[in-house]
Amino acid sequence: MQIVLALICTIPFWTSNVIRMISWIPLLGRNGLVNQGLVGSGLIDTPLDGLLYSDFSVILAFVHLNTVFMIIPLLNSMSRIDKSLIEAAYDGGASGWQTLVNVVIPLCKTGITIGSIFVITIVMGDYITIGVMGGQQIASVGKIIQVQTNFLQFPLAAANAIVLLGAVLLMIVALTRFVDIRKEL
Amino acid sequence: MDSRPASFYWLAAFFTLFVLFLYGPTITILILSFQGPGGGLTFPMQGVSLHWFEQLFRGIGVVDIGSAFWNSLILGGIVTVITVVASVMAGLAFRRRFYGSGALFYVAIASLIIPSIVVSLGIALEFRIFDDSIKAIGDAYEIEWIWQNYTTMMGIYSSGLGAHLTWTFPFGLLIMFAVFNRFNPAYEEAARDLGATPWQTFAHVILPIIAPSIFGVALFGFTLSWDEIARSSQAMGADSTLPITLRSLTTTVTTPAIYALGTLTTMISLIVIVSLLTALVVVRRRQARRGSDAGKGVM
Repeated sequence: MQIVLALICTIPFWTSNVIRMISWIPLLGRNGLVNQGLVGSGLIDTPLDGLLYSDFSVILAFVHLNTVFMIIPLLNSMSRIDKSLIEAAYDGGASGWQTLVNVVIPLCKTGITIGSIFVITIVMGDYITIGVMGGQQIASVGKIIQVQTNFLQFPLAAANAIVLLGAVLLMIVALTRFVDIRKEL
Repeated sequence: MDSRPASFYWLAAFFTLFVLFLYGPTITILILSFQGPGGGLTFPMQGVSLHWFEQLFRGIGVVDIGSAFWNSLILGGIVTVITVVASVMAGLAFRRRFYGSGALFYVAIASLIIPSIVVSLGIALEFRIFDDSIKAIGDAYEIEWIWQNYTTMMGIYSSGLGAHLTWTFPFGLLIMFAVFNRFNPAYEEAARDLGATPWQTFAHVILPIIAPSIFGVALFGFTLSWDEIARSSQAMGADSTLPITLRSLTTTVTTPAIYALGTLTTMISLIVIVSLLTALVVVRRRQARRGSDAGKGVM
C-alpha cells in the first residue's frame, strides 16, 4: 500500500514539465474553470485576471512541479526511522503531535535538508517555469541570464551566472552545516 | 485492528487533495485535447472529436514536431545507456577508498546543485571556445577543409548529450551509492572462494543482485532526459528536442492542438514508465524464485 501511494505521488513527475505547466491554463485562465466556478457560484462578479501569468501562477507551478524533490528525500529518511522509537514515544505517553515534533521531524532533518537543497537550486536557476507561467513578463535571475544570452551578451550573462552560483552555493553551505549528506545514502 | 483516530481522516483528506492537485491539471488537458473542431482552449467542450490530433499530425506552425520527437527519443536512449554504464562502474569504483575519492564524489554531485541556467550557459560558451579554436587552427595552418566544411561542434549529440548527462549521471551515481552501501560483500567473497574470476563475480553475482536498481537508474535517466529543458535549451545548437519545441509552441499555438500534443507525450511517458516498472517486477519475481537454493540439496 505504501509503495502504491509513493508511486501515485511520483508518477506525474515523470511526465513532461512543460505540459504540466500549460495544463494550468484551462484552469486558471480568464475563462478557466476556477473563474467559471467562482462567477457561477456568485462569489465574484467579474473573472479574476491575476490567476494566470502572475506571481500566484508561478508559485503554484513551482509547487506543482517540484514537490517530488522534497517527497523522495523525506520518504528515504522516514522509511529508515526505527519503528520502535515511535512505539517508545507512545509508550512514554506522547501524543501523535508530540511524537511528530520531537521524534519524527528531528530524525528526518537530513531528508528535509537534502530536499531543500534540491528545491532551492531548481527554483533559483529556473527560467522556463517563470517564462511560461509568468507570460514571459516576470523577471528572475535565470530569466535575465537567458535574455542576455539571446542577445549574445555573453560576458554580462557569465558575470550574472557567477553571482547566482555564489549565492546558491552560500545557501547550500549554510544548509549542509546541519547534515552530512554522504552519510545519508 | 485499532479504530483510526480523527487525524487519520484529516490527513487522508489532505492527501486526496494533494493527489487531485497533482493529477487534476493533466486530466483537464487530457479531456480538452478531444475538444470538438469549434472549441477553444477552455471549457465548455464543443463536442468530442479527434480533430486536434489530426491537426497535430498534419503539422502545426513551422516547427517539425516529428524530428523533435525522434531527437528526444534517440537522445534519451543514448543518455540512458551511458548513465547506466557509467554510474554502475562509478558505484563499483567508489566502494574502495582511493586517493581523492571524496573530492571526486563531490565534483560529480556538484552539477546537481548548480543552477540549470549556469550549466546551460557554461556548456554553450565552452563549445563556442572549441569552435573558435578550431577555426583559429584552420586559419593559422590554412586548412581548406576547415574553412569549407566546419561550422560548429555544438549539436544534439555533443553539447546536448553533455547537458543531459550533467543532470542524469549524478542521480544515477547517487542511486548506485545507496545500492552499494547496502551490498553485502560476503557474496563476492563466496564467489571468489569458489574460484570465480573478477569478471565472473561481476556478471553472475553482483549484476543479478543489483539488476532492479539498474532498472531504476534507467527509468530515472530516460525520464529526466525525455523531459530535460532547462540545461539543454542553450546547448542544443540547431536541433531541438521535444520539450524545447513544446515550450516554444506554448507562445505561438493557441489551439487545443497543443493539448493533443500534451496528451500524446504524456502517454509516451506513461508507456515508458509502466513498461520499465513491469520489467522491474518481473526481475524481482525471477530473483525471488531463483534467488537461493540453500537447503535444497546438491544438484
